[in-house]
Amino acid sequence: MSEELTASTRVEKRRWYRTWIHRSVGVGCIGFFFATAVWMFTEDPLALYAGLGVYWLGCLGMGLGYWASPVSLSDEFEKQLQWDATQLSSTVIVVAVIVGIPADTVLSVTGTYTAPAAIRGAIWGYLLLVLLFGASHWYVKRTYE
Amino acid sequence: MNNEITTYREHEGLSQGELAESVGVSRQTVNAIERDRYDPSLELAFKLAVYFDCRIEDLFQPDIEPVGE
Repeated sequence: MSEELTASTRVEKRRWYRTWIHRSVGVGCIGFFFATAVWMFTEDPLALYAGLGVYWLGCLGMGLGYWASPVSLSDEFEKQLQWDATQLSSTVIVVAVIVGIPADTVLSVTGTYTAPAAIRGAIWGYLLLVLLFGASHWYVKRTYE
Repeated sequence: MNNEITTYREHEGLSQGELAESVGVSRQTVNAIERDRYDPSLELAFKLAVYFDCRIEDLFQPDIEPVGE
C-alpha cells in the first residue's frame, strides 16, 4: 500500500533523494580523482579501473535516485529556471549553427580559412544537437496528442 | 502578477521556509513569488489559497489584457 503524499512529505522526499543523488555523484567523482592520483604515483592501471568502477557506481546511484524518487526532484520554480537556462543555451546553439555552418562551409571550400578542428567539431556537433531537439520535440508533441 | 502572499504569510506568523514546506515547494519559490519574479502554477496557486483558507483572487491580482470584446 503506497504512502499518501502530503506537501510536507513531498519536500522531505525531494530533499532525501536529492541528497542521495548528490552524495552518489560526489563519491563517484572523488573516487575517480583519488584513483587517478593513486595511478599517477603507482602507475598501476588497476587503480584507474577501480576509479572508473567507483565513478560508474556513483552514476548508477544517481540514476537509481532519479528512478526511485516518488516525487519530482525539482519544484516548479526550479523547473522554470531550468527552462529559462535551456532557452538561453538553445538560442546560443542555434545562432552558432545558423551563422557558423554556412560560414565554415564557404570558407573551407574556397580555401579562405579553415577553422580549428575543435571549433568545427563544436559547430557541427551543435547541428546534431539541433536535430536531436527536433526529434525530441516531435516525440514529445506526440505524447500530447 | 501582483500578490498578497507576503501579507497573508506574515499574518500567520510564518517564515518563507515554513510556508514553502507546507505547500511542497522550496523557500526560493515562495521568495520569487512574493517578489513578483515568478507566477505560480494553477496547482500551487490553489494550494496557497487552500492553505490560507481564502480565494485565489484574494491572493493574486493578475494584470491581464481585456478578453472577450
